[in-house]
Amino acid sequence: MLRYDSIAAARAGFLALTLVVLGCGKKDNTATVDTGSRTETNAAAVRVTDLEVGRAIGADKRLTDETDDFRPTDVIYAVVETKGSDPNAKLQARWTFEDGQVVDESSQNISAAGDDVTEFHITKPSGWPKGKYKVEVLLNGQPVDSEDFEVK
Amino acid sequence: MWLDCLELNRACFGEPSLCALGHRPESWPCAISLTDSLRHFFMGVSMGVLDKLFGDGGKDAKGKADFSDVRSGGSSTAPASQGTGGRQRTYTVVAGDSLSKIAKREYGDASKWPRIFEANRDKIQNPDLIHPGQVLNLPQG
Repeated sequence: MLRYDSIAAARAGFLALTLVVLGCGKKDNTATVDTGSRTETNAAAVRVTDLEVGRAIGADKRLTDETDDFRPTDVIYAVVETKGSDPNAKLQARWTFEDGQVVDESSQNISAAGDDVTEFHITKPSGWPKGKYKVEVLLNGQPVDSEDFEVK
Repeated sequence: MWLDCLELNRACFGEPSLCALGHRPESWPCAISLTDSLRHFFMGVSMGVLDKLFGDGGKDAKGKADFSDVRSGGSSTAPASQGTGGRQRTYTVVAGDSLSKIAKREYGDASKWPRIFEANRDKIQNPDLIHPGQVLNLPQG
């Protein structure tokens, strides 16, 4: 009887230990998968697919006059195309002059879903100084694309 | 007399325009100093005028481009999110603007001017009358 109890206790202990080990293992795997999949989802959520500059846009926000040579009196547009979804994506445009001066910096928080077009524009009533410029686009704080242009 | 002249010369070299406008020398060396001061003063003025007429008006005295009057804006086909870091977009009216011109520039569609009008009813009584310098709120396009 005592021997039977010992064996039963040993079996129960082994079973419990096995369950604990399996349980822990299962928990660890779940955490890893969960973390991994969440990271992957964020990375694929929204991305910038195109950046172009020009002097006019249409009602669909796309450029109707694409160019990288501007006149001092032009309104300068940067049109950013995005793909993917993110309920709170932050797009930022940083415009700089050839000497490194920041001409302007502005941002838009958008709820991206599918294919979207976002435009940024700058004007200067007294006229743009001639020279080379650059517009850099940041998505959620990370630089993702840039475009050079010139005012002649 | 010499001491006075030396003092005046020192003052003239330090601040030529003051000498040109206020100090009246009574001796020969000081008169030379005044002539120099006037020359410096008017040379400065004329250089400023020439720079305005023929120079690159977008650059300041140190030769750096001046971007203080840059206006910016933007819009998107995507709706605005409720996230932090967004800002109320504004536009400062310049001479020659009209609501439809601003709507065309901001939204790519002049017929959207009533949106701007509605968003600024506290500032605009007559949609045909906006004034340079007025800062208008721009609703999402």
